[in-house]
Amino acid sequence: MSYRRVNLANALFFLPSPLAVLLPLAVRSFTALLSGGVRVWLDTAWVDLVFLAVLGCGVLLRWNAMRVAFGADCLGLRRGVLVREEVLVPTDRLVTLSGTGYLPLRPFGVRLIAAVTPAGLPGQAVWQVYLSKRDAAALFAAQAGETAAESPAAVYRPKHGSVVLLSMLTSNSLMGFLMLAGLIRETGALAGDTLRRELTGQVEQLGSLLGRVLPPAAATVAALLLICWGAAFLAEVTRNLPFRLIRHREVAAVHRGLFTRRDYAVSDEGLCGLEIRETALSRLLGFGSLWLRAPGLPQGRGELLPAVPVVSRRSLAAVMGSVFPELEPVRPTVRPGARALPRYLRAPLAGVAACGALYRCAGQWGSFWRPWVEAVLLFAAVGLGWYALVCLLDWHSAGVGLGRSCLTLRTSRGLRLCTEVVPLRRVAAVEFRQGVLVRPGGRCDLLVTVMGRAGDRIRVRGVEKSAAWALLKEAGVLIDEEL
Amino acid sequence: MLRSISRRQLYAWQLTGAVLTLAVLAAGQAFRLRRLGLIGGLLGAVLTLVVVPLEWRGLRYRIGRECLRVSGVLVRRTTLLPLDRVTEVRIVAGPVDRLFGVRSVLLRTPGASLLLPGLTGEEAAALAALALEGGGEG
Repeated sequence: MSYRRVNLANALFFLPSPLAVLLPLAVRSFTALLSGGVRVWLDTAWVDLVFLAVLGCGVLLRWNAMRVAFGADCLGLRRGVLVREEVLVPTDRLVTLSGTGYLPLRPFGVRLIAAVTPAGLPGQAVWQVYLSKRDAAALFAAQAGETAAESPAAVYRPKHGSVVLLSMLTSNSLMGFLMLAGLIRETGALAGDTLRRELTGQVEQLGSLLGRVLPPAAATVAALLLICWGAAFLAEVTRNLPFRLIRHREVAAVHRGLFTRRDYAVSDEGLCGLEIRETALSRLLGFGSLWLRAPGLPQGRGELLPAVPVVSRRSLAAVMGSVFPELEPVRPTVRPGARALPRYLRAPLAGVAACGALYRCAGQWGSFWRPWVEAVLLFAAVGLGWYALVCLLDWHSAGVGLGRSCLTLRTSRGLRLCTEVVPLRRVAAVEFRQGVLVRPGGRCDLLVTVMGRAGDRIRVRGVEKSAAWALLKEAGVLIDEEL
Repeated sequence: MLRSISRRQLYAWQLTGAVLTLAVLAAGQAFRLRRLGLIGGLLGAVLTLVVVPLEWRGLRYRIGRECLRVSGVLVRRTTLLPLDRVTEVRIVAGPVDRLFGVRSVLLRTPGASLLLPGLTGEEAAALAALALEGGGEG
């Protein structure tokens, strides 16, 4: 394995938070130039320039010491000037290889490549380097275990409409709020307060428009949520389009992104499972999306990556059959009975009780808070109704099934209905949890721990304990008779 | 047969300990905390001259299909790491390590890791190669 020098883009690893250092210096220089010309700028900025030069020298020294090697068997990385470090990663034990082509770096033809092993913390790459497009493509091809002459086993290109639907599902108002808040703040700083006031005025106008059908306080909240969601939706569309899923011999690869190109290669060995996600509405309309679970997939999404955007249930089954034939979901055989319904409706009923208590209290707090509490309660009532519907659908479909080499667990998480398909070799532990109230009925909550999911467990509520035990024994997960 | 790590690693640790002890003494003088500095210096001297050699003597290893490490004086710890499960190898050498020609090798598997200090450059490279091959199983 021979080491070679890396391209200059890798110096980015050593820049101490570029915005924090360069932006204040640029602003100060700009201000000095505007106020007093070049002479004043030179008089005041020489300290900054010396600081930048020292910083730049340090960065260049560290970049100069960096070497990279990628062979068929091993990935290598050498770095460090004072403390020298060599990282070696066997390629056959890699879980996820991801490549990201950021828009500003695209003219230079470089992509950020990150390799994750099962030993790394979730989302933490052990080998991370900027490579040229050609080297990155060669590395991905080597990871996929294919030569140039071979073609992949299956290629899936979804329609744009299904990707847009997926973006609608994955957008949330909080994400949009954070993005918009940052944008408006920066607009104020860069383009002046007039434009910022105009932007915020537009939000108020939309609020007053909604105010004709909703209480004023609720209208303001709704307008804010709507605008934030719209911004998040646009960001998600550009993140997901165009979308491509390719199945190689032992690797599943996903390519997506309009401005920032993102490529992921997940090995079969490292795959922690598949998840079919549905909302209550998409369940009723017969739509779902498929997600991959493996260490090293995008952070902030629970190590998840969309593999098939929103499509009809029939299309989803067809795509899964061709792309992941070994992880085909089966119909659950161990299901919660009619007596488990209260277990499912417990949380929304508790929410209703809490809302009632809040409404009672609001009467005593005075007239100032009353409209705000009513607005919040209006949204809470809609949310709780929706949540109760999700719980009902969950109770109707939940359960555990045993496939050829995988477990199918149908459950819900918050407002989402999910069907988890977990390879049996990945099941690390199972727990049967019985409360005092459900113990006499022989029911339990089944919690399944899956390797590589950072402690996140799958919970199926209110199933028969003896039936679940027998199924897990048949699967080879449990050995002993039921206790 | 367990092997002890290189004696040069002991010298590297002792040199680091001596420098740190002197730094504590100097800081005590500079900040007018002479008594605190003396206590720190005394502690540093005990660590450098007594504890570090004992730790070094207690550290033994064996490399086969697994990497076995025995360490500790009062509490003896034995760690066994199967080489066919290693997913990452790190060879680290600080300036003092390089001065004495020693390397530390960190082997990491899903759920565990093992640090083996005091190997020469050749030993570290050989161990890395063996771990990448999966302990000789290929």
